[in-house]
Amino acid sequence: MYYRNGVLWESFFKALGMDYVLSPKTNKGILERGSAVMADESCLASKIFMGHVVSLLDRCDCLFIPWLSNFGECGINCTRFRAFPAMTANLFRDREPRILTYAIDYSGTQDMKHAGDEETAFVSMAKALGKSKKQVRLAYREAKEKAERAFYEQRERTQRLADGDGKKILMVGHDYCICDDYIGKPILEALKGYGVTVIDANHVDRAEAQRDFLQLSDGTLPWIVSRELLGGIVHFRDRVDGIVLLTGFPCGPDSIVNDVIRREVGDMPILYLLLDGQDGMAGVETRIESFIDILNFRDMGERRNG
Amino acid sequence: MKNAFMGIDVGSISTKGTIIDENDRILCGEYLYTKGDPLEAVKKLLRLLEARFDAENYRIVAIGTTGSARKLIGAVLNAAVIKNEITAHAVGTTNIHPDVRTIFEIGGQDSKIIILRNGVVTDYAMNTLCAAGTGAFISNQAARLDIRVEDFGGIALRSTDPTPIAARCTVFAESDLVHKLQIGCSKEDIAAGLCRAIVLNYLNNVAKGKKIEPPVVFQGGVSKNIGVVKAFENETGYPVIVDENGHLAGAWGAAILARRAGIIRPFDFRITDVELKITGKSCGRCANNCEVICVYREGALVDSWGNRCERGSVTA
Repeated sequence: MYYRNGVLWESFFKALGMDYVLSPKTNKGILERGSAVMADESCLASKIFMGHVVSLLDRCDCLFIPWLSNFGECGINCTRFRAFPAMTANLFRDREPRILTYAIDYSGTQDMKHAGDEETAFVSMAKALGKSKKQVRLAYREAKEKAERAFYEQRERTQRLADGDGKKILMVGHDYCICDDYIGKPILEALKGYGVTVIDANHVDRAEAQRDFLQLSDGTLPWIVSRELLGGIVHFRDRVDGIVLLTGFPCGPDSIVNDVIRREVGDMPILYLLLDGQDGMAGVETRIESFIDILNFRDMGERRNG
Repeated sequence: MKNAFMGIDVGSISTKGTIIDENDRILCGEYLYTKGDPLEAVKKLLRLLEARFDAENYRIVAIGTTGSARKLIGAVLNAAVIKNEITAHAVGTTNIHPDVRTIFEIGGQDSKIIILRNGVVTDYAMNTLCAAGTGAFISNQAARLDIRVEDFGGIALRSTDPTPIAARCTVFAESDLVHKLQIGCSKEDIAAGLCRAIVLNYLNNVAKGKKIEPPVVFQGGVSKNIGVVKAFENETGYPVIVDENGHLAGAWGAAILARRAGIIRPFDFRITDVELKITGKSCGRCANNCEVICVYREGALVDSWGNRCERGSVTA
């Protein structure tokens, strides 16, 4: 979620004049430490998350783990995000880590203390932060503005890439997979090595995506990010040559959504990459290389037959 | 002296090689088991090919490699082309069957479907990185049933009532299989059940959403299993073509790609006498601890790869 909210969070703490440390880029060591503490059946991303927690335990006074659960009409997050603050406290109870959190949960049940909008959720952290409500409110507003602007600029950049020339593929996956240095980055690099432009399906106007996803799925699809990714496909599909689905094993939402994509997105090559922290890149290389070949074959075929 | 081109396909289970002339016709082809040692398998393969190669009239001017060990063998043999097996298979198969529209391929640890229209690949899919329902799976289950892999298909054909078996995962299938044996199902029925399970697993996963149209060509080691072929025909309703040279399609394609590449790199069979060594070492310079693969010829480094960053690069 850092890749989604990083600017907001960092700007927020900066505006309050508070020091923060970020966990290092994901590497094999982080995945191994995370795998050691998480239940074996957990997904790759949550193992990586816990690995990052381990890397921070001795480096800070307090762990910031937002509780990003239910976004009302926009959909929900996977259950793991609901669980992370409590799971972290429980897994490391011997160390008694202090956890700072805010809750996004529109589920409407009365016992949810902080149910409500994002600003209210941030303000509820005032006491824990040792700041006044007003200070926190102002810091949030400043940070939110920066975050919105940064995301707008990111979308504009992606938009220009999508409008540009050359072979383009749409990368569909959670940004914690795509942007991760250990799982997603090597794949992005490999694709770029073949000279293709990678378009990140996350970079769409979220309100627009919330409408567009209905072209590929019905409204019962619960997950907010999955909806946005489907919206991203609708937004970009006419401008790309193929789609790469990137999933960390085992992902519940993706197992359903990837199937929807393969059924609903018509005549377009789709590469489905399911990653589980394999060491060897050979299997992935084979798939990417052949995928690029197919894109080129199609081009040749169109020229020959057209 | 005429030009010839060699294609080598080194898979997890078997190693295949062909030598073709300038018209893409096979001059000779060989096939053997990799047995976990791709380098030794390729040396053996080269000796077999050499024995059948007409060295008086032809000389090999370029090599193409494919299969999971393509990079390794490509480095050792100084290949002109190193190509993934999907492309190699498509090229090799369209050469045999120009009108093919669907290629099923099930190998040792991969399975794929390739869709072609008008001789051009338009779509494909591959199994996820899990090897369920591939050759490795059949070998495992054959061993459990105490049947030779070669006999498996024939035994399956004798069944009149295939036993339903879950083939999604090798481990689950195995416990399912043990249970079915215990309740008295015959080996024939279980073998037929496994063949059917492999086909259903393939059609529901690898081939999901792909439009299967005839002619259908079935390749890869598993295509030698007549039980699986029959199960494919039953489930798809189309005749399934298995070629005598189907197992060589990847190697053939690699040879054709080497010819098309137009790069001349003469090859000498004496390489089989040269000392070759491959090492896979953990780098240890950072937490990623990449496995760096180095290829040595007569003690000198030929190539290395596997490192995610500069720190792990190995130079001579």
